Amino acid sequence: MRSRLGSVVRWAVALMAIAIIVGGLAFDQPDTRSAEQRADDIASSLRCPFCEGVSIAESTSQVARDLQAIIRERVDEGAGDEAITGEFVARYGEWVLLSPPASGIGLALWALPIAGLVAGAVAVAGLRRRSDTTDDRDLPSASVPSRVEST
Amino acid sequence: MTALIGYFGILVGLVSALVLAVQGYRVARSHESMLVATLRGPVLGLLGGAIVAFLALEFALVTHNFSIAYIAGNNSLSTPLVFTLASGWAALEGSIALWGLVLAGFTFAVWRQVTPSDALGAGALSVLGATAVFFFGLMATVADPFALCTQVANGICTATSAIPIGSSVAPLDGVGANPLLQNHILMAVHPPLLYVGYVGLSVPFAFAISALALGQPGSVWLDRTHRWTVIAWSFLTIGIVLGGWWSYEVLGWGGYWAWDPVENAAFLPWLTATAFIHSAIVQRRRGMLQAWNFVLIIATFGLTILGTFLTRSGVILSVHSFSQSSVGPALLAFLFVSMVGALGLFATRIQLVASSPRLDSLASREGSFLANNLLLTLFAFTVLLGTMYPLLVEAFGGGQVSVGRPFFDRASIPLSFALLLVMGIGPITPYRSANPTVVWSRIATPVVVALAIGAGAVAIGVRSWSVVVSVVLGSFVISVIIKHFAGQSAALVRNGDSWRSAIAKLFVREPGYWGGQVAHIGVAILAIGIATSSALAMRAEVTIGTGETVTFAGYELTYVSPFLREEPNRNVIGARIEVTRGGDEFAVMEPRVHQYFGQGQAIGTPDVRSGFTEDLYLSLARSPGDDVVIDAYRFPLIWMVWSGGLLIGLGGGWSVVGLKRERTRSQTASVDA
Repeated sequence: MRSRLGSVVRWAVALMAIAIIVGGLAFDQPDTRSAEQRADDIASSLRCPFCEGVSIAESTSQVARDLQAIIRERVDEGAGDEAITGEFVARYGEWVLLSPPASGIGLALWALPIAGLVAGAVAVAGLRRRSDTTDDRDLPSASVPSRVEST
Repeated sequence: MTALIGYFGILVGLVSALVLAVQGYRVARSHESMLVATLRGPVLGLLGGAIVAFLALEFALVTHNFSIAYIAGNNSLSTPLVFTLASGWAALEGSIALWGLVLAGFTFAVWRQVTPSDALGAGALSVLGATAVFFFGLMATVADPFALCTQVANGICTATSAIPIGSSVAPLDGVGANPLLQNHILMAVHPPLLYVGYVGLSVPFAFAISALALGQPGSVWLDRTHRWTVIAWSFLTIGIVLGGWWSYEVLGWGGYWAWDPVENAAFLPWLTATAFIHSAIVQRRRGMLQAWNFVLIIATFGLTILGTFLTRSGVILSVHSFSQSSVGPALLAFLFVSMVGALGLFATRIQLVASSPRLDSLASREGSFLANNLLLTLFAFTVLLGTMYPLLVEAFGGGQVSVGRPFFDRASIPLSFALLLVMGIGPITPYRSANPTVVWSRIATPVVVALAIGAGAVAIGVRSWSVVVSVVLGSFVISVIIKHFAGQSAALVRNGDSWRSAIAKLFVREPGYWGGQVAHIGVAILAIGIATSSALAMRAEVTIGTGETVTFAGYELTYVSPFLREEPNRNVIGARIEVTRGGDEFAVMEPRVHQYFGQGQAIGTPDVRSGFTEDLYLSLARSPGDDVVIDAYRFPLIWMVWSGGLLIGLGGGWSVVGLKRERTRSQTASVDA
């Protein structure tokens, strides 16, 4: 009786928690970032065209600071994230995107890991299937030494 | 004279390494037990040569022997002693010398465990010898730390002699170490830890190659190298964490990890070594994954060499590429030869590698280990691909493309979440075939606890889904472990133990398991710390006039005055900022710029106040005057990143130290029986 009560309480807590999490994350989501944060996020997605391999946000060079100021200005003027990013791509080329799009030259970058995931999953599944076909029944499972339940 | 002695040490090391490589191979093939004794000389020669070379380098640094080009380029009369000592590994030649010393130390330690008629051990020594030939060869040629300065212009050494014989000139003072390196004490300890990790991983590699060459691909090589691997991995972990901490405290860009190629270079072997540690357990327990373990350890070794190549060759521009020189092609050649050799050997022996794919069910401990390996390998593959992609695209004439932080963040978040999930369920899942009700009974309460904590985070206003998911998964992992631990201790207590002795018993009896779980708790804490400190960070560039006050993230920053301080080795220019919080006194902070003598570049140094809930981080954007421009950051819970990371290394360390104690005890027990 007591354990049933416990499990009811547990389920109730779990469901309530899920409701709070889903509710909080799904329905209260206007873009609450400040203009500063938005400009920062954009700056960290763009490579500083004149620095050594760092984003506009991370570089401490004067050029990067000027570019940061330009981004901030565009944010204040009300331009959207993608519009600002697009302006940089138009001026400097797609090369400034630190996360290349999954098309054209950046396709393999996204496709190969996914292909790797699929191949790995198939390999693991194959391990399972092969063990079905080996005559497992002949070998009593106790033949494999089994040590203490640890490691 | 010092240079000559040091160079002599290198040559002794080189010759000993050659003899060790050849003689080790012969001993391994001959099966004559007496021959093992012949390896004593070359091993001691290698260690002795490495020690002499490194001590000579340190002696030259301490005595400011500027006739040696390395000393003139990396030290100055005003460098403080601790950074003078650390200059021994501050640049390319010195770090190769340290690498050689660590490798010689590991070789010596392996040799001490090699018994007569131990072909596997002799073969491993041969492989370590061959590796040492390469590194000592580098030191004797293109990366000679003792090259003499033969021409000085404007106080800088402009020409060197290849070998330290003949006349030399010395500049009056050296240029000093790279300012970034001498700016923080962590830089003195981070590289040696990293090297112990890197080089330590060549021990399991050496045993793997030896086992393949001898046609003994069982689990003996794994049993014998388990401790080496975990020790090396623990050092690598702590080395990486301290590197991130250094970056945070010194570089002033407000972060600790930028997915920079050189950071990735250290992270890649960590990922594959982590996979290897887990898959080795599966092989040792269940006989599975024998071929896969060879592949993993060969890949791990290759990635350590690739990492060194990326750091040292200047192929990829990076804030960490402190030195660029002709070692690049040599490292690339070594990488190529060792990988072709190792994989070729593996291919010829593949039919000997008994594969026993007896996976009864995917829902089992083995199944979770497989998921772990799949995810970690995929993680490594993705990071490697992202790091090399711009290079590959350019090499194939595809033009320029950039891959940076946004890509790596996007790719690593789902992988990390999946890993956390597997890490929560895997360790409490039984081997062979798990009964779902058993697993559910072990995770039901933790699931509720984790969801409740996640809801709590949302309730206090967290709206970032990545933070909430990290908090839920991280607290799931931690509460599963705590529940399991409490259950096991309670069982001991029911048998009459006190709680304290029950807890101690668990850690001593099963150090491998519980050390691993401590590491898992570290990973969970780290994950929560990474998510909160980045997603909930605040940053603002604030301009403050003298005497004025600006608010940032609940702090009031008042610019008191600029200041200039002359120190023996540098000028410090900074701004004094009085910080209050809600009107209460909080701190006086001094973000500053360090100008090291003899170095053109000034280094911005942030001032960081660390607290339990958050760090306040101030960094000068430009030199202070009537007003000051500051990059102000607030990082919530960033201490969880450092402490979680260190806990991972400590858990690994305990699993080995405890194992040794356990083994000693069981040996005593068997003698008693």
